[in-house]
Amino acid sequence: MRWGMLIDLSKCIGCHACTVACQQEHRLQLGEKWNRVLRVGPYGKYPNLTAYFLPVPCMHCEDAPCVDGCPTGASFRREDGIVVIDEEKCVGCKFCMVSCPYGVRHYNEDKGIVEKCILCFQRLDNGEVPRCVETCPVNARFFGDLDDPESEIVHLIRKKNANPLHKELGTKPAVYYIFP
Amino acid sequence: MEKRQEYFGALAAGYFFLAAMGAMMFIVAAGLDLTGNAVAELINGWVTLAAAVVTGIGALLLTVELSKKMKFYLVMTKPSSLMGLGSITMSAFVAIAFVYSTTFFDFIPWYPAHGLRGVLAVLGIIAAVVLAAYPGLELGEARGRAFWNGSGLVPLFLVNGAVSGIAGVLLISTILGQAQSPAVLALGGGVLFGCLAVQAVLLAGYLMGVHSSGAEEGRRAVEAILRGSLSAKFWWGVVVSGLAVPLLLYLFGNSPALTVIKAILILIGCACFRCVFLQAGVRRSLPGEENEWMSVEEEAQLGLRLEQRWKEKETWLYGGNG
Repeated sequence: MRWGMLIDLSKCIGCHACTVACQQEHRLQLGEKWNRVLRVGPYGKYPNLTAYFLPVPCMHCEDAPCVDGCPTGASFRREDGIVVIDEEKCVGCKFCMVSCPYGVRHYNEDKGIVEKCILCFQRLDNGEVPRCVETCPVNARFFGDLDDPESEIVHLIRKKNANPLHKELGTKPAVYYIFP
Repeated sequence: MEKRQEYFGALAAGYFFLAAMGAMMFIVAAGLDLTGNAVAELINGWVTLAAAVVTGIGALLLTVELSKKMKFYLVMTKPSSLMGLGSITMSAFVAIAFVYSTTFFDFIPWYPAHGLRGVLAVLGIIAAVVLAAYPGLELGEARGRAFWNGSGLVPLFLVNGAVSGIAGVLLISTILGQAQSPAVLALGGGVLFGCLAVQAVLLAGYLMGVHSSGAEEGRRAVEAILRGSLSAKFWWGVVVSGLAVPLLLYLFGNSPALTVIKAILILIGCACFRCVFLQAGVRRSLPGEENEWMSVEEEAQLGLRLEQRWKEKETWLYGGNG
């Protein structure tokens, strides 16, 4: 089993509800975002301009540089593919922040540790979906098992030709995007 | 945008600089010892003791960089990570260099312990090579930071470390009154000159290679070094202090005073080199990252403005009795 997410960028309206829901779920500080929403564009030439919104959670890479580089073993992959951080082992060296090509890790000054999206594994363990998936008002997020060829998410990835960000880096992310 | 990215700070740069300097000081000294050079007996005790102290100070800087300093030992629990391997090697190196240095002081009970000295020299050289090389490999692990991904980074770091190590040995040799001994003269003459020249060529080649590699973040990094936020540190520190002036000083002979000036300038240049190379490793930008709207301060200001507005509305609605 490998949990993954698919985000349909042609549906995303940039409302930041996922960002706020994530902040509430994990009680994050002001300014700390485990799920940034970037605005891409507008690009093109007037009057044919295009813009879209790009939510950026942790990619939960299969070949995660943050996990390989962590000197204490605090960053590790669970059996279901979710990359998590053991707060007891993290010493705040921040090497994972440097090695993450997506810039999704944040340093918590108060706790002295690095934090990031954990795909709401506490909710998954209770049979629920991640909070951002549940909250999205336009159903732009899909969640499921990437190892199950019959799952909805795998069907959509194939059908819509979805791709991860910066595939060329070879980190094998578990978050896919349907680009507009 | 680069300002919002994460990179290692001055403490990590200081650690990389001091660790490479200490490691290379040891390699030079142990090399003199293993080749049977007479000056080794006169300078190696203090040079290798300084190497252990310098590397130890670097380790302290690294510990200060950690937010949970009392848990520093956890950094050595995963040797499969390059940082873990580096930390273990660094600890071993400091211990080896310290014990090795004691075999040169006649008040130590086991002085001169020639057998032990030889074994420690070989072990120390192996540890020193790993210590000087692993930062380049570690930075190269950061995918999406093309500036650190060049295959020339490790050789460049090694040569830069060698230059700083030789400068350290020259400084201590001069303090010990051995500046004019043939081995030290050769070290400060042709060997150092050659290393500086190789460093200049490798540095120029590395910057040109990254700039022309096609990765946009690599080009941004080189632009920042040559013309942007890191240019002062690069041109004045790395190029003028670390390369140009020391090379020019060769025109004025090799008096002890000039050797000291040269060594100090080189060390300043090497420290600047580490800072510039650490800070230049910018990440490949995500689509739209340049449009990230608000900083934390801006968000806080917006929050305060909203709260103020709500209070004004409350006053307007309820006359301050709400």
